[in-house]
Amino acid sequence: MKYIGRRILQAIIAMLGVSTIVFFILHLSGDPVKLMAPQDASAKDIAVLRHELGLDQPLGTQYLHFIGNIFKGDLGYSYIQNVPVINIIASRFPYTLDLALGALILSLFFGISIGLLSAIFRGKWIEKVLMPIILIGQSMPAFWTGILLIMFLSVHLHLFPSSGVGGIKSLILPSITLASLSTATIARMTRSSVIDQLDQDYVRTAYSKGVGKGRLLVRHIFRNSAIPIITIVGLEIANLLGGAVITETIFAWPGLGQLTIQSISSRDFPLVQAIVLLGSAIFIGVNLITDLLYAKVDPRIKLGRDAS
Amino acid sequence: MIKPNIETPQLGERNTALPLREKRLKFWKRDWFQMLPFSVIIVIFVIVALAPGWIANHNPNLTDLAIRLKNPGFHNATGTYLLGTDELGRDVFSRVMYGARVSLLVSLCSVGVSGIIGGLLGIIAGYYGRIVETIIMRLADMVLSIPFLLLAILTVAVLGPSLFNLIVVLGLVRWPRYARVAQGKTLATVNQDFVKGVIALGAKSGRVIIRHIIPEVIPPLIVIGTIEVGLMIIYEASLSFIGLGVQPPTASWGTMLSEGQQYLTQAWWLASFPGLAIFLIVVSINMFGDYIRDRLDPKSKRR
Repeated sequence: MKYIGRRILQAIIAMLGVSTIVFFILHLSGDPVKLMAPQDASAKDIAVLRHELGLDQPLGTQYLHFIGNIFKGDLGYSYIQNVPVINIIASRFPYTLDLALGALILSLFFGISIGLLSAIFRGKWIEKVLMPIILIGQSMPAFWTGILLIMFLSVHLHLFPSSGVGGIKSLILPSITLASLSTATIARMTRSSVIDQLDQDYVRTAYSKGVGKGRLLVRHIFRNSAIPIITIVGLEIANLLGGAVITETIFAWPGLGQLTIQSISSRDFPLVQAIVLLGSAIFIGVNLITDLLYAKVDPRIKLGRDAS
Repeated sequence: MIKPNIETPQLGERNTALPLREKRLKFWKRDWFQMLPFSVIIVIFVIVALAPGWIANHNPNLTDLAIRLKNPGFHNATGTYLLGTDELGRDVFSRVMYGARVSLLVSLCSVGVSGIIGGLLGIIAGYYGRIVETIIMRLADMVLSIPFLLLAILTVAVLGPSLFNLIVVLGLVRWPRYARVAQGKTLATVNQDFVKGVIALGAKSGRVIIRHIIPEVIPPLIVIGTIEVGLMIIYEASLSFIGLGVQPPTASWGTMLSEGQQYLTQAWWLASFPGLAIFLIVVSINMFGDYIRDRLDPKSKRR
């Protein structure tokens, strides 16, 4: 319990730090009002807006106000649409969630199976086929993968729609695009951590004792190589949101990524800021969950940390 | 005066994030001649980036609406358009060549900026320890917990998109990776007997850092830097792709791809060649990075 409590406290501190960084970035340009005001705003309009947003107060007061609001869950109003940013985000989030889930399922399935196969059959032809796939996946920029998929599968073969939302079929290409990099990363990590275990003495002992190959793999090797895999999967889940910006731009997918681009081009900074904070909260939350999962998978971690 | 923190070897704790020890296999033990094709691509890329005018046979920004969207291999009185022309009649081949310059400039400069900032902060954190270390490394953790692309997008949006801002932003948001490694390596070095001895003999901090710590810290930083160059090429293209990087009409692979996407049905070559260029150079840099890591650091296979 002590371990869990400490990790949660750390996560809250991290969120506080992230909010601080975002606050300072928004003040980097000197005057956030100039960023938010339309190009042709008069000096009086700017003064009114400055007062409305509380930006005429000292920086310290503004900062406390900003942090306080975040922890109250109040992320402000969209400057363009004049509704709470939370509502706008809530209306777009399900689309990104669909996309991220699709990508996660693909990258978990293909990443772990490619990684496992190339570890078990190292030196064999299976590995020689799979390793270049991992390498290519790692080096393909997401937007090129997406464009190639559109070019071959929708423009030439008319198998899938090239953009927009409409049923499961329209989800396939964006999910593949978003999944491509994570798949390669997960495969690489699975492969190296499984290989790490294969060379351990306990594996040889178990095998010579007559433990079946399948059981050995699932019960012994995979369980012991799970921690690095969980870590990397956690990081990849958090990265999906960043990747969604590119993927959603390519496929005109109306999720948070597209919202980010739209709100930047309309200079709707409360919205941009809220998306960045949400992305970081997801990242920190997922990391917290993976850390708690470690303790579940490997009790040694919990005991070790509590003892120290 | 702050003393170096000799008694705080927290290496074990800090490195639990990726407890990984990859056993290299025959497959990964590439000899230099297996690296040859990748080295050749990198050399060509650097030459093209330094002097795109030598190879490009047209002005990359010269528009000619009479010859818009021509097939690769099209030629007229002004010469051959090896990779065809784009929607404004510009030569795609020349634009890909000039795009290499932007790509190399942004990736090398931003890796330089983040490597120097991260390296110095990491050495300071590792050497002085205590509160200095806590502040720097917690800050690094926090920067790392903002999704990188979102952080870059937010910062570029605030500062305004330009080549210079792109370099600054990519450099500033990327330093924690170097800082973590530099800090770990500094801690390990400070705790070695010869460094303890030098400090006991009365060497000043500046001398210890310059003569003994920096030479130890640089090789792992070079390894990260090499792989980061590839990533930065992708991120430069990504930001340009969504309109927050290099601004038109400057040729950049990212902007070419986003322009090309609108003409996928009519002109496949517009998006294909810049994408292929990014892919080839990034594969080569990744292979090269792995190779350098194995050569410089044969013992630790951590990533």
